[in-house]
Amino acid sequence: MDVKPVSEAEGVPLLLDPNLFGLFSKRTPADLDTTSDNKEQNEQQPATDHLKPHSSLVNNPFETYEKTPLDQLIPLIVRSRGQGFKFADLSEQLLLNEIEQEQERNGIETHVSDNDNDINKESEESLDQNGLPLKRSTPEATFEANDEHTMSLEKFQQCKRNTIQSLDLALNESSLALEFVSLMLSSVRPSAASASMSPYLKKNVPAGTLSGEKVLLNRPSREETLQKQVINKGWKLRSLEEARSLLKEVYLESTKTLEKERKHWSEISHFISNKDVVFKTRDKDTGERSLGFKYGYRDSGSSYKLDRGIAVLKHNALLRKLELVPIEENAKAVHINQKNREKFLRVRIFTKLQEEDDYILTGESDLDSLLLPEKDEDEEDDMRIQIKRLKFFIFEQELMNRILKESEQLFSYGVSIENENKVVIEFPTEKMEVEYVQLNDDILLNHQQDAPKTNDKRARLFLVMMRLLLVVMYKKQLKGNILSVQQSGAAATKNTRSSNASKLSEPLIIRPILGKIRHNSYLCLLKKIIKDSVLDSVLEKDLRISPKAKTAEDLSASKIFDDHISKLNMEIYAFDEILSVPETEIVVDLAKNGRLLLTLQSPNYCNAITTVKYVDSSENIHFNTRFSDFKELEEFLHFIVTEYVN
Amino acid sequence: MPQPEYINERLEALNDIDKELVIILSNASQVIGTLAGLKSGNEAMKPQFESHVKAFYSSLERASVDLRREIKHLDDNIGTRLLPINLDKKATGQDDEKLQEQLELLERELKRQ
Repeated sequence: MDVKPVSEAEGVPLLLDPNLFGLFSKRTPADLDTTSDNKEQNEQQPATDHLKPHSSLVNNPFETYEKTPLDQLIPLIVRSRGQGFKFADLSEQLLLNEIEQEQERNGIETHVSDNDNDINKESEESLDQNGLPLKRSTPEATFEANDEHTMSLEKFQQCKRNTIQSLDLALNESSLALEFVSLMLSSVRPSAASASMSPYLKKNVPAGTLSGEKVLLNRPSREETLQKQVINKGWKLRSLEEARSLLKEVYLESTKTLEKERKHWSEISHFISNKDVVFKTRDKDTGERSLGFKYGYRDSGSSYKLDRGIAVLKHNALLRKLELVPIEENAKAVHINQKNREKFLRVRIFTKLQEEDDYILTGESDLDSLLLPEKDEDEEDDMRIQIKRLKFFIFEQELMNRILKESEQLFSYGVSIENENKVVIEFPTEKMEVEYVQLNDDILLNHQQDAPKTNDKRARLFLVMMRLLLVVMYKKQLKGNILSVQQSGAAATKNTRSSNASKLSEPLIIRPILGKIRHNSYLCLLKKIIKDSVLDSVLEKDLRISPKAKTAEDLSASKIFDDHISKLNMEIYAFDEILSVPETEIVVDLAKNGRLLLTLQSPNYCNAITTVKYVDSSENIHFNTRFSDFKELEEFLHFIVTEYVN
Repeated sequence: MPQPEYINERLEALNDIDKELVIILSNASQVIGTLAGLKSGNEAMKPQFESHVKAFYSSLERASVDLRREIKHLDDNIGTRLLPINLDKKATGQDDEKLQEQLELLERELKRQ
């Protein structure tokens, strides 16, 4: 031991309790507790206080003795004492003597040297008082010791932290090691391993995954690698070849499609004029993008809502031509095929046989030229004909719809609805049938064979007039639309507009025609009555009949600045002759006896109201009476003639 | 009543673009064919491969340039030849058409004594 000489020189007594050295050298707060514990064992406890100032001892290498176990320490002490020394002989007294001797030696030395007497005295005193072989500390040294004590508190905290950290680290390492071993073990003894595994490990790593198995890797031979390379290359070349042929196929196919498309578009550009309304839409059957075609009369004044009049342009692959396929808006309307839409109006006139109570067909409207099968029709016009047909059929459909609605209110004037496709108008000598007929081959065939009949022309005119009147309805609707827009601009109330609309939508197709016919027959009846009751009994007479023409005051009175409205007004006015409520004035001039003024009116087109006025020779109006019954009128005329004329 | 010449021109131009796009496919197929030839060791096909690639890119360029040009035409013509896209065209004038048609019928009928 290299420390031995030092201990022999000055530190030997300190070997008494090597623990104390540790106290000075590694004085941590944690250690303080142990020192306090040691106090009881330590007989020389006061000595510790005196030992403190010995800074030289702090660095004493004897601190190693602290850790030396007792069974080693005692032989060490024995050895340092020299041969023949027994540990049992070591007593307190002996030690004290030794210290005294040493101090005497020291004291001589200090006297020789220039040392402070007081210190020596003090040390002597301390020796006396305590009887301990320890040096007295100097005041400065005490101070230093205190200083060191306060420092140690911080150190204590730090050391505590370090210790805890190290402990944690150790715990962690050991548990990691445990986990590792458990995992390794788990492949052999799963149950034993899982007992020591942490739940986290169990959850995340399957048992037995960390086994020490050895996988043999067969190195492929040169031949094999070569073969593989060849196969790889072969596959690559083959896929290149396939890609090439696929692209080629697609190219050829697209070229064909392109040709078709080119044809399609050139057809469209050829057949569709700028006046037609074409818009983008989707084909509902196939979901493909397509072009829609508007053929309905909606934008031209129609308020018919059952069919919007829209068709999709399709390319019929079979017939190799463009086709217009109307879109069925109403899901409820189930048509077996498209042909079902092809219905048209037919007017037939039946004349009553005088003798029997039966009718014979005397007139029939003919088929529209559109409906006749085209003979060698130029393919060029095919599309236009399709459009025309669609327009024709939707117009007929609406016309029938309007007629049915109108006929509901005309029941009392001999108009009856036989079924939803047939309306019959009855007159005393004949009846007129308006029928909505499905176009089929039979009709087409029979039509060509039909011989002309007497009333054909009337039937045709009747039909044309009905169509014209529907157009007039459109015109009125258009006018109403424009006006209502203008009115709403001028903050018109909603009520007036809606009443306007209802007035506009009132169908006037059968009524004016029927009214004209009925008015005529009323007039005939009236003339007959006048003849019977007045003319036959009066000698001097003159009969004048004048239909009261409505003047164009409506037009000129209200100044209209809108070009569209004035144009529409002009067009509507063209039909005023038929649309105005029929009214006829009859003047019976009775020479000296004054005049009879009769006015036949039909306020709702079909009824008859007669106003009778009698003006005598002195221009006095005597009567102004209205009759709706011709019987009463006849009696009244009789009365006037007998009372005033004769 | 066919469409005016200008519209037909545009349709023709669009058709040409379509053609160009289809030719791109053919070019691609040729490129891949020559590439397969090259890969199988036929070095002599290299210039051919290059020319096919060039053709591919030039077709692509032509198609895209032309398409751009057509789009520009479309933009330029909105408001002059074409209605603005957000406006629906109305099928007006069909009433007059019908009126005319029926009046002609009427006239014919009245002349047929």
